[in-house]
Amino acid sequence: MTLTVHGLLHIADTIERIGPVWAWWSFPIERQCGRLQRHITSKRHPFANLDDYITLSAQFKTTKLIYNIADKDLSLEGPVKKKTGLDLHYERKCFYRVCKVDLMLL
Amino acid sequence: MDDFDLLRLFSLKINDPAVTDKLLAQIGQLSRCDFDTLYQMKKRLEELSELMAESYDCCVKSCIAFTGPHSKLKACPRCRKPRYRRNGQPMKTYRYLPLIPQLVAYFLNRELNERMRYRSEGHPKVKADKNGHMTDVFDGSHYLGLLEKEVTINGHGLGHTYFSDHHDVALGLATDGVNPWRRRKSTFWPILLYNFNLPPEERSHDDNAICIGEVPGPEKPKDMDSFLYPVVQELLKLSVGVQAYDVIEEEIFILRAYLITIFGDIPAVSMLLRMKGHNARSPCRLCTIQGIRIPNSRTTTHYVPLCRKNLHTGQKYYDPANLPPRTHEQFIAQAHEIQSAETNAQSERLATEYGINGIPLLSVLDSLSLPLSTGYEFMHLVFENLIPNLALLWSGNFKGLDNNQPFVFNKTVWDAIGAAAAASRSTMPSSYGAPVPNIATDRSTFSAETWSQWALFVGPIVLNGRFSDKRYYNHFCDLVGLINLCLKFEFSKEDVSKIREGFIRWVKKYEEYVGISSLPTSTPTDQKAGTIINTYQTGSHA
Repeated sequence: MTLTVHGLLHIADTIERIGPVWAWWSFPIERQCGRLQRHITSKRHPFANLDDYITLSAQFKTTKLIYNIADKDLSLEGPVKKKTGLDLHYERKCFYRVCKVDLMLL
Repeated sequence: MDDFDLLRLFSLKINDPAVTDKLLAQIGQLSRCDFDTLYQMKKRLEELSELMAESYDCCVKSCIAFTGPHSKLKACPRCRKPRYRRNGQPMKTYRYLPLIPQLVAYFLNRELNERMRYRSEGHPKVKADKNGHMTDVFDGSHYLGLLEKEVTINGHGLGHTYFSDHHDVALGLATDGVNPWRRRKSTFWPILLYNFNLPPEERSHDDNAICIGEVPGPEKPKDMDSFLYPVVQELLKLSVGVQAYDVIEEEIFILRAYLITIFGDIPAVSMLLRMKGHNARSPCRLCTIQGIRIPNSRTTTHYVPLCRKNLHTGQKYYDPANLPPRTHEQFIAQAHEIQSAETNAQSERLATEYGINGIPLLSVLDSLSLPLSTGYEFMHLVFENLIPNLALLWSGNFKGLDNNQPFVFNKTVWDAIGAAAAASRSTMPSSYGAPVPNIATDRSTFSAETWSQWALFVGPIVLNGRFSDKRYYNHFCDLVGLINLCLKFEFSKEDVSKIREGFIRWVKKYEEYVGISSLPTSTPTDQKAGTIINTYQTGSHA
């Protein structure tokens, strides 16, 4: 009997300890890994290429979060968007000043 | 071109791998972009996001990262390869994206801030308390135990209990080896964090997973702890608390976050926990069952049958309902014993006996109870190992097992089973999932999803009446019933005991039908006991 079969004996305990099976299974991880893998376009420096992509997408996501930008605001479909001329970073600094949050702490 | 346009430009690249850096720069030129180069555009994005990637040097063969206790080394302690090139540049770098700014950003967003209250407000607690009803991680005994525990770092209490504030974030850490190419043996290991504060239907969205970095390939890291060093440091900071701003309540609060579980397949979790893995003498992560080798065989794989009557030494029988459990205290004590052994030989001997290589860095996080905060990950366990192994068993392709077993199908019968199932492809509604290929001829194209389709929907039909003895069919149907039970969204107490008893019965029968020798597994993981963990432990608190 291999560990695979033996592992079945521990499923019930694990559910009791860390919750339903869907909360800790690997399907989301595998999908995420598949997405990252597809974004490797360089054959010569695949991992540096991937690092760039991971950094870019994390920065992009964080920007969207902190400026409350929805995906539809960035959509390229539909009528041509008017220029807002918004300097987001300037707005942000004003926001911090209003909230009296120290920029260095965040 | 304003900042919105810049973000639109980057959204192209993020959603589509076909948009290369070169193409992006050209589109920038075309749209009369204010930035001359792509580098400037990326710099602006970095400025906007306030998220700065940190670079750490790492071994050219990805053995270790030069972090924490290794930060002053000039060469890799494992493979002796130099850290720098002749011109003083590092051979290779590991890029780490800090977790704290990414978590802080969630509370600056109105929409996600509200959704992240699922843990404290949205989750139906009352129902859970009544009868041990299991609806989410927050009903598990591990989380409930944390609620009453004071947060401690290295034995020092911090004066607050876990998850006492509604802002507190529950995180899960996961990693997996991914091969970027089909034909080459090469893996990279992304390190992902999942935010359990979000409602279940959203937390697994690609956008909500926090990727903090990737251990670059092509080789597997030998010391994963050195790559986890920056994130563990941040998690320690987060258990003390960092300042953040809540955009809805319009006030500054102390943000705390705790890691409550680790998940991933067996080799990935073994690596994170510094355990020997699935072929060791003490292979199980959750109990101390001793593995045995096939007598008179050269394979080093250890098997874990319940009954070992024929053996001369050791325990004769393990009761599946009462397996000798591992506990957190015992695990840590054993790991300490291994690291403080007087001689290398003694430490090796202990490591083999306990199935542990050393103290994992993650043990400094008091919110985890190692190895119990991990489980045997269901997708790999059942859909990528168990079901494919059963298929190998039935088709007689099973290494080391003779083909005269009563449950092995004749080749023509197996081909007919495959053809019958494949013929159903065109009539199977697509809402059931991906169509299932021919199991007799195209087994290599199966994925976890198609294995599950096959087992749950196709198998019970096409196998009916095919076995030489009806009991093998019934045994398979029992398994399908149990898998269906495990796939439920919510579990009552009865469900859990049904799963427990059902699997005990199923495994006992499996052993009776298949016998002691059984499925061989993949190559053993190559890991050696390390000696640097003590420096890690002191280093991370400094």
